[in-house]
Amino acid sequence: MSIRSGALTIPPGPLVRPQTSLWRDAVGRLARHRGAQVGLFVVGGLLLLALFAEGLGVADPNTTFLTETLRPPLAGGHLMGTDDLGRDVFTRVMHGARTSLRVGVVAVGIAVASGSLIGFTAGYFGRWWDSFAMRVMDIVLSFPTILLAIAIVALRGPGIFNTMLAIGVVAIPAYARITRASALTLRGQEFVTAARSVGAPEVRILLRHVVPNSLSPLIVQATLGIATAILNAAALGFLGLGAQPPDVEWGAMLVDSVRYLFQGSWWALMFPGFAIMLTVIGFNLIGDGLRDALDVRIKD
Amino acid sequence: MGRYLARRLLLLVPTLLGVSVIVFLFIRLIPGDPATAILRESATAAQVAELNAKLGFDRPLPVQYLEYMGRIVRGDLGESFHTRLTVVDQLKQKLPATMELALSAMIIATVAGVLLGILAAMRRGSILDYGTMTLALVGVSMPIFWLGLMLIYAFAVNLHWLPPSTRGEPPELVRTGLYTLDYLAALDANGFLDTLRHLALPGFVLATVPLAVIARQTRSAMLEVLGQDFVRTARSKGLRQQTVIARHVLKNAMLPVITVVGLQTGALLSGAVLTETVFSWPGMGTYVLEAILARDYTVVQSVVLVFAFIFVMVNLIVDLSYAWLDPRIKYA
Repeated sequence: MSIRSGALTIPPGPLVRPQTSLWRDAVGRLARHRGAQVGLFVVGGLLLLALFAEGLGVADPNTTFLTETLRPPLAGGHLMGTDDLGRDVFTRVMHGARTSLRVGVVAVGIAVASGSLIGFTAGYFGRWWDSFAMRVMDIVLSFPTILLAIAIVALRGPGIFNTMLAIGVVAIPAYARITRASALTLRGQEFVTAARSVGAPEVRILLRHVVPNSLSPLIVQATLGIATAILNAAALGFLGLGAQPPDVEWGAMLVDSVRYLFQGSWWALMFPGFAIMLTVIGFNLIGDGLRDALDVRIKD
Repeated sequence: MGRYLARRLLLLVPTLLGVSVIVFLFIRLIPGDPATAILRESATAAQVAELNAKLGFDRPLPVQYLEYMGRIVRGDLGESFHTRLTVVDQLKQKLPATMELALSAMIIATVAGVLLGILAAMRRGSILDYGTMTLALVGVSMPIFWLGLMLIYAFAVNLHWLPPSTRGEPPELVRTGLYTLDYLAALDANGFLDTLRHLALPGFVLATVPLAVIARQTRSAMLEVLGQDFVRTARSKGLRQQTVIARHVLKNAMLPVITVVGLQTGALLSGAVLTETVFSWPGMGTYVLEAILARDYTVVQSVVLVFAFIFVMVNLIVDLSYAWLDPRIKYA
């Protein structure tokens, strides 16, 4: 049925756009975002490489071919060449993707969990806890990030787990500040007062009303945070404080190959670094896309 | 302004005290005890006990903390367990090295970043704009130690244009510790150029992240101001494009840029640790890293404290500079 009124034709069907939820809307905008598309493609590709590393490369990333050391890319069936011990660089890059993605996600998980617990409670309940918690965050922020991460690893010993922990801890203040700011704004809103006036307990208000309404900036910051965490993990690996053999890690691969750079073997160094850059670009693009899709403004 | 300054300085006290407590506890949180860590596992129990007594680790923690603070306030940052050199003497050499590197990086990043940002904003949507913003994304996403190694490979190993590492020959008379200034003061052109050649690669590498961030921020600040009514008014009264940009847009777009320049200066300290390692730059970064790897904990403790102090001070200066630059900002 179509209604005619003057020259204007109104198409048949309901006039109201079908309702979509906030999140579905955001996902739609993200899927149309050019940058995010590239980012999702890159990260998706890396995820596949990480998942199917065994099938695509040499079975074990630590297999050494002592007769085939420092082969250039494409020589002898080694797509990215071999390193000084004759290990297949392509296989190791794929296994490194596994390590980096895991470290990035777990480190950000640690930071988000602790940071938002601190930030939400500080912003919502305020008083002495707020001043105390924010002072502590200021103190953590007084250290240059890498230096603090190095100190934590030096204290606890190198390894993947301590890398995740160190990188997670240095990132806590960022999440504490964001969630505190959200909680501060939201606790004065009418719907919170309404919930309180019908007798909802404070913890329930915090969990059911404040937290869900603060998720957008948190999601954006966490995605960008994975990028930073991967860079920091690579830096620790590069300094010899990250993952230890037999774990394969991009930063450590880089430092293993530095000596051979002066003899002209650039590939064992080029590819892991390139992989780090690509991964970080991917997460940064998704993060920027999410920022646009969820319409949040975070100060850098 | 005076009251604001006083309050900010007062707020520094608890922060710096907190920092000192953390740094103090750091050395005492090492699994086992520091003496064992220093002497390694082969030491006898008597040796460990003797060193602990010598270092004062056998006394109660609060007493140790007060003694430690007492020494720091008197300007005594301790000495290395290994080399026996005092930290203060070492810092006199290392601090200028890091400062020279960081200042060069900041100059490169600010000049290039602001220029690229302005060009990108004025040619919005052009290839130049897309190119600049893509480069900026790559810049913030690149591990700078990797970029450093790649540049060494290209410009030092292959092309032999630039030296791969170190600061070069020190000037005969070291006054400021910044070799560029010392050579200038000595009117030594060759020395000055050699210092610049040594600075080029590490300076550029350390500059990449701030450069990218500054370019992005300049572009978005410019675009925001370009859309304002007063810009249209300025154009409509017939002012030339250069005048509009220079007199109306730039002035208003620079404040957020200065914020970012300040924030990035703090972040430079993290980058300096990595850049110095790659280029064997004899600064604070390599100093603290060597100390960490050698378990030289007094050095670690003191250098980390100095790092944190500089960091906090830079942030304070940044905050104060806003009030000075933008009369609209009023601090209570």
